[in-house]
Amino acid sequence: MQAKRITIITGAFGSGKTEVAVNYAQELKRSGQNVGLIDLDIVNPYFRSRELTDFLKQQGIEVVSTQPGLEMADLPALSPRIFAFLQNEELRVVFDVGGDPVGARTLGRFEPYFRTNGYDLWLVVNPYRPGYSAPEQITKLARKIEAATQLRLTEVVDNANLGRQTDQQTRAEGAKVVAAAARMLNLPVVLKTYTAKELRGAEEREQAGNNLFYLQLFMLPPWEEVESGVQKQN
Amino acid sequence: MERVMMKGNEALAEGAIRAGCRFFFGYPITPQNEIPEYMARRMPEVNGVFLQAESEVSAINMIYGAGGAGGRALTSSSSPGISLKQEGISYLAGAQVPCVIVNVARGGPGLGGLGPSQSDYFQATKGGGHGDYHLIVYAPGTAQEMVDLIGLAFDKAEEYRNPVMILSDAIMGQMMEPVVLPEMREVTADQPWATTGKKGRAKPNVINSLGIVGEDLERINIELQEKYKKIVDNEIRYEADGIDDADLIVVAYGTTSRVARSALNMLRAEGKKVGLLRPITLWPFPKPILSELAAEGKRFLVVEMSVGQLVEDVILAVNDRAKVDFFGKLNGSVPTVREVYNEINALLQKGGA
Repeated sequence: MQAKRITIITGAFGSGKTEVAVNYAQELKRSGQNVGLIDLDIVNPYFRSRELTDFLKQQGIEVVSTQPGLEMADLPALSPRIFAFLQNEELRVVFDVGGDPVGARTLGRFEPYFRTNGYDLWLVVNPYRPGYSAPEQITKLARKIEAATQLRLTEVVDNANLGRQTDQQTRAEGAKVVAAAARMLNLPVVLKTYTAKELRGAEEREQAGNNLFYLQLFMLPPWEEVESGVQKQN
Repeated sequence: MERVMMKGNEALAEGAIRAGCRFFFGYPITPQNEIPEYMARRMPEVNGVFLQAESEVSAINMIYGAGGAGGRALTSSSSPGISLKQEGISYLAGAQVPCVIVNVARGGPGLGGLGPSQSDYFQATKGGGHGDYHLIVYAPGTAQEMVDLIGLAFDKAEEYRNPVMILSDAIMGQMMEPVVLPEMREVTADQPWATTGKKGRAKPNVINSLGIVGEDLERINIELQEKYKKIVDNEIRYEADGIDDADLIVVAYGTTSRVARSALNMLRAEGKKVGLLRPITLWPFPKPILSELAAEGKRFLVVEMSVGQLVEDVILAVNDRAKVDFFGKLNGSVPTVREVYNEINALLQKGGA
């Protein structure tokens, strides 16, 4: 499957969209592409990718969100620079969208660009979040996000995790729910996330299947940020 | 037993529902918005009431009505909104209405900022409204404790007929952690003092804080103070971690206790004798244990996201018998693990009192 120039990352509130978006933007950069990350989250002013603007800039990834200087405010304002990203055909664009259908609605104003450029619309799913433990609940959310955005989902991201309590069993049980939802939606699971503490050996990775995607966690509370070396804007 | 990943705010809201809370009145403000949002969705599923009031003042007075009728009633807000509620909170304390008030604190003073803060400690523990009264104040340190303490808060509010506050902050409310949710509890609104009709009794129940006739007000205050003494004697909660052989004990609650714990784990791995005393009730304050530790010759470091509020209670408890140092952060910034680590190390190197 050929990835499109624009990847839009949606999902429920707290499903891990920002971690996936930041890591995926870095992955694209590592593969030699020019990457722009658009933080479209105007739902909640905490744990957003714009906190990593300087950190990502050092890696050559531009982040655009709101008017410069107002990044940490809870204002529903978006920067016009987003259009510059969309109009630059040399740029791979990753959208980190706000949670739930209400957050995804913001995409509506960029719809003409999606229509002409094509897009991949991902649904990040963590079935351990309240309200999403059954495939039917996930498909219902998927339909609502499609209705809010007037776009079609193209892939599902399996981000089944219980934070620090995540182990292979929780991943495996969560994966079943995500896979069932993806089947019902008739969509492929494009990525299955894992973090440093899980799935270390090659054999374990093989058992877990294809599309494994390593997540370096950035959206950590202050007591888990010891020597990450990541400078955030707060 | 269900395990789920929840934000502190969501855990608190679901915990309240499972503890029998069926009345939520509130008004939007960041960083507590997940609580009313969750309640708006959840309350109709359990035949409860969610109502977005026209203001914080209105919401706290709705609590007076629902709590006075014996219902388990919750309101939540953040610092400026909690200031608006203070008149109502004083009335609730005076009229002995059980209820739970959540403050997901943000930076102040004034409109302040959206970052976490512990500078509402005085307001929560020393009044805030007018008159000689106290709230029971719980300070959760994990998403799991949000669930556990909100359940306890409703029980204690009812047991003592006293408003209870949960003092959280922007980080505590927004961070996500795995949580085990308890079973749904059935509770009754049928209290002997509730204003739900005479039901054959000779005298109607009255919920009021007015004491204008004769010695009424003094009698009300005597009754309140007797109750507060009972609470002080029975309801102190704290967590002590590695204090027995510690030379230096960090005192911190909520977010800063988490930061301090990470720093202390690093120091202990280096063989340093350091411990943590984490007040879970900010009022009643864990004065006896601090007094005991001071008598044993321990020294203390208080870590706060304020210019020094909790530290005053520690100084009072220690009463000049031990050295109390302070590491605070002004609102608008959060202490890092490295900063707290360095602070403790510097104190240990300075040695003695």
